[in-house]
Amino acid sequence: MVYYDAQQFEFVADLEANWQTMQQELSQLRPKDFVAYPERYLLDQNTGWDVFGLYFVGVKIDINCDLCPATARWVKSVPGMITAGFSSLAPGAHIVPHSGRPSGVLRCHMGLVVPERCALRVGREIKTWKEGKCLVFDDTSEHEAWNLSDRPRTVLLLDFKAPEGFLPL
Amino acid sequence: MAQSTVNRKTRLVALKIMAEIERSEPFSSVESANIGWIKEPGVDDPPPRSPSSKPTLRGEIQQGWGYVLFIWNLSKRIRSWKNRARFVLGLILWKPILPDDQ
Repeated sequence: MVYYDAQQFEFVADLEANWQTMQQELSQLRPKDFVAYPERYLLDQNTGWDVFGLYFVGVKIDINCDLCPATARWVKSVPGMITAGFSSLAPGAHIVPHSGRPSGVLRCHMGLVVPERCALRVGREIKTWKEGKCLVFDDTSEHEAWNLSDRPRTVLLLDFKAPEGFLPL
Repeated sequence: MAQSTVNRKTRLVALKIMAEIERSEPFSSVESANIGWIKEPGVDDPPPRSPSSKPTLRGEIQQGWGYVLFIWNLSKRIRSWKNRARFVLGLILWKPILPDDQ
């Protein structure tokens, strides 16, 4: 399975109910609050992919959490949350097909600013992000993402430990 | 002098991380298999990729420097040294290594 039915995860309803608060906190950030995601080789050509981390590998990024207190609170409440933050894909950016190593986590994207002509392919399935809606997928499946619009696309990105029985052994 | 030593150490840590956390390998088995996509109406197919170019030393150095900046910029936003260390070690191992402090 590549995409999961997001609604089966209890935290999803809470995140979706509060997406506008998160979007509002996102809108107050300055470009310099974001950092370039280092895995540039995943980008086709040298287009932009920037992140604003709230938690990375379980470690709180204190100053960023202070800037987005409500978002930090919501992501902190996600069971098994490991990494969370905003992921911003520049206009024209294409993250080429790649696959994460098995690490027992699932990835959730919640659309916050989603222009036209943006999509995420996982396996054979291509879905578009929708503002305030979550997509949950297994990032060990081959996936790629693109933003062919003229505006940045930003999602809340969340890695969480897969509940028992959700990942193949 | 002390600053230079710190910078050198930071670079060494970053290069080690770069070597060890090659977490994602780009490839395209599905694309090359020419399988039909399952998608919502009106959604674009994946865009074509640019022809890949040979990796160069300059590119590798830029990649390494990108890791250094990433670690440095995020570390600056972590208040305690203990959590900074957890952050760097967590990136190397690509997993949380200690319980979170409340």
